[in-house]
Amino acid sequence: MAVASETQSVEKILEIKNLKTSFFSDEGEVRAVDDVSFNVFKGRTLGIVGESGCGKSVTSLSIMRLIPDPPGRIVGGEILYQGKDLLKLDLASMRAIRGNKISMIFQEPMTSLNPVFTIGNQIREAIGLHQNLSRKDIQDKAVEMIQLVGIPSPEKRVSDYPHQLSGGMRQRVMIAMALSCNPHVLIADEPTTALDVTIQAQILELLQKLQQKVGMGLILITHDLGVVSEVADEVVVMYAGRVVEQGSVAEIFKHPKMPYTRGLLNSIPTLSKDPTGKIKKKRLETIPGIVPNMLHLPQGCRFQDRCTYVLDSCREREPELRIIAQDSEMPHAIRCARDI
Amino acid sequence: MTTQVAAVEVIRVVSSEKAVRGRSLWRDAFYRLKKDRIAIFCLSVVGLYSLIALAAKFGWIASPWDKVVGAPYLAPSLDSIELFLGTDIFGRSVFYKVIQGTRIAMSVGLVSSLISIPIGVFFGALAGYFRGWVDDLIVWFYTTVSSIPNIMLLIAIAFIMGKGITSIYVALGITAWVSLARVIRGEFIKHKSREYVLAAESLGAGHASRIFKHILPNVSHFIIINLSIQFMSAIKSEVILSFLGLGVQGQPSWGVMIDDARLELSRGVWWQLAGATVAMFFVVLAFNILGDSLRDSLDPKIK
Repeated sequence: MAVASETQSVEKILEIKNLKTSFFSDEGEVRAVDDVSFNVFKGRTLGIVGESGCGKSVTSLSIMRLIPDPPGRIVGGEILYQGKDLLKLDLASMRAIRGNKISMIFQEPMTSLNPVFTIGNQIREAIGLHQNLSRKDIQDKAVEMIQLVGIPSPEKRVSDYPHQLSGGMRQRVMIAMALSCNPHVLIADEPTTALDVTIQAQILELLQKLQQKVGMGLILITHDLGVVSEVADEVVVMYAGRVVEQGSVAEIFKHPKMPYTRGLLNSIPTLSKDPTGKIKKKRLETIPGIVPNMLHLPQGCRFQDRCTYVLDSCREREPELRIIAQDSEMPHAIRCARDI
Repeated sequence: MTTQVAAVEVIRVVSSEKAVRGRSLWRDAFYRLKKDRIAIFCLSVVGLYSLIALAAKFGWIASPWDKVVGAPYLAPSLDSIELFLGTDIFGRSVFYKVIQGTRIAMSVGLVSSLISIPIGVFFGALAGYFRGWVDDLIVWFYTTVSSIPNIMLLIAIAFIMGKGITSIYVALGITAWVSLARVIRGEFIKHKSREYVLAAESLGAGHASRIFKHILPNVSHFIIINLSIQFMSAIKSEVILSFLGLGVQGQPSWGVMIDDARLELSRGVWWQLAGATVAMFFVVLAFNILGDSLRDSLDPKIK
């Protein structure tokens, strides 16, 4: 899937333009998402990576317009879905899109399901909210969805309560709910973070399989670059509310240009062997320092204090996001003053 | 051979257990409650009182209660069921009066709970869910209500509406919702930020659906726990109000009986007081213990 077919033209289904989301606290405004733009293509996967608090989840919640208000608010930008700006829709029209055209799955499968209802009940509700089907059809569809996400004996499981299922199974139920109306875009906010590694692989495989089946665009939010390299077609790297690098997954992993992306890639443990066949003992690198306080961002580049390539000009003026290679639908762009 | 049979048996048991429908949290709670013998005993006591109240309501027992069954102030005797607790000043059966008092006590508990619980749930849910100015307003309102001494408010309402059982229903109903509203508000605040509510929103569920379909079932056990406590305190309040002469008129409530007993005690007539007090003691105690056990079984985390 990482290989995009060259002949097929890709269709943009979601366009995020200059999105700005802020949280207003007593101490001041926190610009959690600051001027973020990217596109989501049909049938393709966009990975959004970055460390905790960089604005990944806020971006996804902004797309769904689920930012808790107060204290948060989307203060600017456009989210274009089929030419319509989602930010201008009234609440009723937005509700008709949520779960129907754009769906979301959350990080915590243990708490994302309502504990007092059976999973069948909850999937049926997700279907019933958007589709005008008879009771019988809804029931059949719910069983079908449970089967689709690979839960064994769906007729029995449909009357199980969430506490009777394991974390991986619950995440499958969440996926079934999110996909029950055949959405065009699925936002997966760290769908595998709370799961152990084997289940992680199963869930990712499932998401890919379902994506191919229904041809939706997938936004995969994660801090796990390994997951991104396996699953995503395009990558957006975020840092302190900004997009700092974006491009196709091959380009980003082969030629990372922004020092932050390099740092992220270097901090993945590798198990490579030297010519004699011994496993190389390489010290795991880390990115020094911590994420800047979002209330008091430094002047200039937000990564300056942690960057080994920092210039004096970086401390004065924040570099613009500039395109360095027009190689794919998502041109490789970096927010960095240097060419390294 | 026998071990083989046993093994087959075990497999059958296990597989039949697997075929059982999903186990809801309610059923789990019920199993926990069933293991608690004292709770079951208290539940039976409450059930018995309810049955007596119903039977009295339909006139199957202790009716008519105002029939003269003997001389005034006959001491308790085992001669007949009517004289089991002796007679009062007019020669009426005290035992019958206690039973009719049960009817009034239980009806006050039930009706006032039916009035106060919807009010408490409604205000608590709105405040906890919407927060902001709605919350401020509702919290201000119930803080004001609860800052007025309860008994004074009850007296005022009883005065306005006239003496009688209806004003007791209303007075208790519209003063008792505050504690439930507080609990429900707190739980709504907690649950509103839970991910399952966000997930429901992300699937397109509206406010009403989130409040009533998603969050309310998750906090409904507090309503049941509150019902038990509410019932008990309503019974006590009715007795106090009737004792103060603001309650039930022309009907034998426990409070009226205790009030009558004030003058009788000096003459050594203790049975009217004893009958009403003992009857009240058991039902109040049963509701109290039941409330605790319900909390333990419905919300095992806080045990």
